[in-house]
Amino acid sequence: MNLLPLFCVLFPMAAAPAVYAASRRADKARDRALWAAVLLEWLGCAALLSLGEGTLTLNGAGAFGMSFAFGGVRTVFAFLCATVFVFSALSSPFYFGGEERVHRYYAFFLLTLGGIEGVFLSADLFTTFFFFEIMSMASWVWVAQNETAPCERAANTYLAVAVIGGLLLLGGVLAVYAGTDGLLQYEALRARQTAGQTSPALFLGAVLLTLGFGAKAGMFPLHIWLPKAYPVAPAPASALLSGILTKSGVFGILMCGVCLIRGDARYAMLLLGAGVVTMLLGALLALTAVDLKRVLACSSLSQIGFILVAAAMLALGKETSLAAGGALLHAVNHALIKSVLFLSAGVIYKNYHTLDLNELRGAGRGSRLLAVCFLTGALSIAGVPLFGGYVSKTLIHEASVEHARLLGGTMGTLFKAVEGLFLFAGGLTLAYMTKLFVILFVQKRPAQAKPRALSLDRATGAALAVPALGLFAMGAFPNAAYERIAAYAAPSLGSEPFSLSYFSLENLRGAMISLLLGAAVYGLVVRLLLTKKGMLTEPRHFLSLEENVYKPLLRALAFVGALGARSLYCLTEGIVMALARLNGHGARPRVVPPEDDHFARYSPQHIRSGAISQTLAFELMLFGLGAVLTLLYLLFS
Amino acid sequence: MILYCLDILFPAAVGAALVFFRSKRPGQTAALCAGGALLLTLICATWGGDALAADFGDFSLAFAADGVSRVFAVLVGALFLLCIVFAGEYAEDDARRAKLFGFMLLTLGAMLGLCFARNLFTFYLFFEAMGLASFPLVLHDRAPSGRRAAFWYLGFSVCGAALVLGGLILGGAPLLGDFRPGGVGLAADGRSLAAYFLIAVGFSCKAGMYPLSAWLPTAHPEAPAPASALMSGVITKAGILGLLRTTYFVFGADALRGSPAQRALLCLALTTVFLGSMLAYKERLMKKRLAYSSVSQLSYVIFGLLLLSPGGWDGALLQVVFHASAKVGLFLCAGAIIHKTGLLYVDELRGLGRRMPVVMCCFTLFSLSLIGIPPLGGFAAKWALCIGALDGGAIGIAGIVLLIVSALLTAGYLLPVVSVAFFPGEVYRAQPCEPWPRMSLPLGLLAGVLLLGGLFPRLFTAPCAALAAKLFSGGAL
Repeated sequence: MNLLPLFCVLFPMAAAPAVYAASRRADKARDRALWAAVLLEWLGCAALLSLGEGTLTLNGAGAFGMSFAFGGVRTVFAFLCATVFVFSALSSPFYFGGEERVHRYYAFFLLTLGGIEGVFLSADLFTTFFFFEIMSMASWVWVAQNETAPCERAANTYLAVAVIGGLLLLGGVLAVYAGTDGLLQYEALRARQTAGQTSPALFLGAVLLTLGFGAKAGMFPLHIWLPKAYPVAPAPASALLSGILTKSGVFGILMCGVCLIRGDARYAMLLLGAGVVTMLLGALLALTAVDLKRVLACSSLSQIGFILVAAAMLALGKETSLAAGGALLHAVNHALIKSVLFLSAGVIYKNYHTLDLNELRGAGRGSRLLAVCFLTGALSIAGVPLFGGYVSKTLIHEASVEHARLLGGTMGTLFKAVEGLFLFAGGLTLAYMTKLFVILFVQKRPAQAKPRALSLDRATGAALAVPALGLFAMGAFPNAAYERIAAYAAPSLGSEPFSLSYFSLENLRGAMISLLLGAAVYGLVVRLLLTKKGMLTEPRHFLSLEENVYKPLLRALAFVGALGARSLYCLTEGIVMALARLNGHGARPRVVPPEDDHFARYSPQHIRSGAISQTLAFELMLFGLGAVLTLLYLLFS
Repeated sequence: MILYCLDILFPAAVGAALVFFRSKRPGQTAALCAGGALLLTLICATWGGDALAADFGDFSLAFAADGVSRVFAVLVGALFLLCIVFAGEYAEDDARRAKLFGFMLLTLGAMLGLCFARNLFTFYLFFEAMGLASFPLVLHDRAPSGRRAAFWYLGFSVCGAALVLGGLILGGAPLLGDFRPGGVGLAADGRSLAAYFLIAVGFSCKAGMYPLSAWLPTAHPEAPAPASALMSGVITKAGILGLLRTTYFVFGADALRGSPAQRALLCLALTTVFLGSMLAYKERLMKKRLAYSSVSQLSYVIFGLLLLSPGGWDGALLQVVFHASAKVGLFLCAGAIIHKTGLLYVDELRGLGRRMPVVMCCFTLFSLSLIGIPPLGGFAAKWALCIGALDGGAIGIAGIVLLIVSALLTAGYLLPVVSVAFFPGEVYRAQPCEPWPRMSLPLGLLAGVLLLGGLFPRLFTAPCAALAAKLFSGGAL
């Protein structure tokens, strides 16, 4: 029995109170303690890589018993998570500086880390749910950390979605439990499933699970918290929310598709629909936003949409290798890219204390390192060849082309449409990333604003440069890097290893179409439509899902519920009142006279003979009525 | 024999002495006495055995320590001790605090008696005694609203007890035999079902089940905080224990399964689950909100018990333990807030997390447990209840849906408090006012219990593990 996964899960949680205690004292000790904890965790996860596959079962723990597993997709995600946490931790001291209450953030940073590792290393749905909730609740503090008014609103939305998502998830787990007679282990579920046939309970379970996981991943229609929360959270936290937390949802959806309901076309189509909408919606929102972190947040939505499209194809179970590779690798890329981009945004925010793009013209010109790293991230996410994102996007694109070819008929047409939308959304990615890069690094500072060098400490520089370098290196040699990762994870996703020549003309064509589309959109929409007098403008949002649909709906439901509950409740209370009125002629029954100091002892002179008989009669009447009613019920039921 | 008498009479005698005689340090005396009682309870639970105190022909006064009584008695003893320690600081400036401690101890004695009762007659005696001994707690603050509340409390108490008595008379002598796991072997005819229904409704009245629930949110918030913690968290469990004993140890799960009484009680319990949560969501007064919440949470237990399946039984027991811990904790937090700041309403609590961090951290953990969020004990209970309900047919599924809706409402009425307490805004500044360890220690211990309970829930119901096989020998297993 290997206890390493348990260490990876529990160590950060155990370290959280220690770091909290250490960091109340002094700044230096605080940062050192955090770095030490995260580094140790990273080493633990790195050691997992060398272990291969394995499981660990704890029968007595939790209400159901817990089990952990490592190897394949789990280890990849666990290691990725620890890595991005390291980057975030490196830049945290710079970002937070001498702020108050950093120790609170640090403690919940580690708590969430433990929760996420628990999700990634879980081997059954119960354990996944258990740690998912811990992660969900602990990361609430990240969103609320800054305590501004928008922060409070975002944190409330986050919390509402987290709680509702958690309950949907619980419902899903219970439905699976009901549908499989108590089987929750992923491997057992995978062995049990039969192609194309799913019981209603299992289908319901899969849908609820997907909604619950999707709420965290930012899947439409439960994405509402995401564009609100990322901009207000501290930048190191936004990097993690976007890069890692969403991946826990993605992990859950992947597991659902692979182990629970593979081959069910209804489910795959639902997921595909949600994925396409998320992909397009996010991209359009990102294109129009004028807040630096909001652009990045909406971009996350869009990229999650890409991953969900791949996950849907994986769940369809027809041609899984490319889809599995695409989903996994895009998740890996997106985590690294968003780490770079959000940490860069943090550096800019730290220097200018604003996120409004119109005030940040040329803001990044002061640091070449920042420009290079940001550019790498931008090119990578836009899917430019030689950078990481290109590889995963090509895989997803190829997978959709393959599906269109394989399926034929209506389904084939559908996948052709998906392919077109995919390329279009890819183009939009290029458009909004170009928008960001041009504003931040190409345009000149306005004349009145003094140009200045950006301040940026060494640790943050490393946290930016390492993932950027990684994205470039892996993107330049995809067969050696990405395909190995995909091959390592393939068995756990039920797919085969594959090999593609990424830089062949055929594969480059998709990327070129996408990039040309993007350039056109940038030129026409961003420069002509959205820029007025040199200023970016944001079109008014006429419909907000949260404000116009969810909130009124919840309010109405609460109103109806309260009305019902109060009426029912008043029924009994009213009867008692009416009886008391009838019996006591409206007089208040007295138990203890007001002037009596010895409570619970009746003083004789105050008791009128009527008082006792009133109460006694009332009690007897209550009793009699109850008895008669129940007898009547039981006799005639 | 002597052990049980000692265990019951010792706190009762000290309590009576505190009520009637002057005492210099009632708080310390009471805490020591409650500690002694807990020790005696542990001894009784381990070496008690069967004991017959008095035989009156048809009736007998008899005690025994089986799995259920061990769990309940230790829970009761421990929570009373914590509340009394807490009250030591809470009631420091109260001129009549000796009476508060006295009646608490009297109630403790009565509750220990009913935990160890071996037949329904003994149980009923102590049940009545407990009702009477706890009634003055509601009156303690002597506010005008308290008088009305006390009247309701007494009225419903008597009414519930009268229903039980009616059921006992209807059912006759066979009901009064020793408790036996799986039932004493009554015929499942209309008469005994009617008797069962009366007794069940009577006991559930104490646990605030609709339609006899109106008294609970009226009376519980009136008592001083430690006392309302006991009433809401612990004393209500006497009703639960009564229902449990009647259902599983007198009538038997197999005899009741599928009967109209079971269906009716399940429906009532589910109605209450929703009702309590919804009303709590709409309530602004902190203690009253918590009392409504008890109405809802206790009906989870009734729902679990009435499922009459091993899963439901398991969930109900876990819910008893973890609801008691969380609810006592929440009331004590409310008490600490009242004691230190005088704030009563939930919307006044902005920034309290900065002023009393330890109390509010505990409050958060208790809230999460009550909602049922891992890794706390409440989640284990809710999970077990849901799993139990999966076999319960249509009403079981309805139960799961209602449990989930209720969890959502619970989050709705507890988490906003946590949110404004800890995230009041950048500019918020306030003096810290953390209470003394005598207040925060019980809170910390309860939070620890809930954390441990989330990780190893069965640890707390281990004494009952062997019972389950006997209870369901005929049916569901």
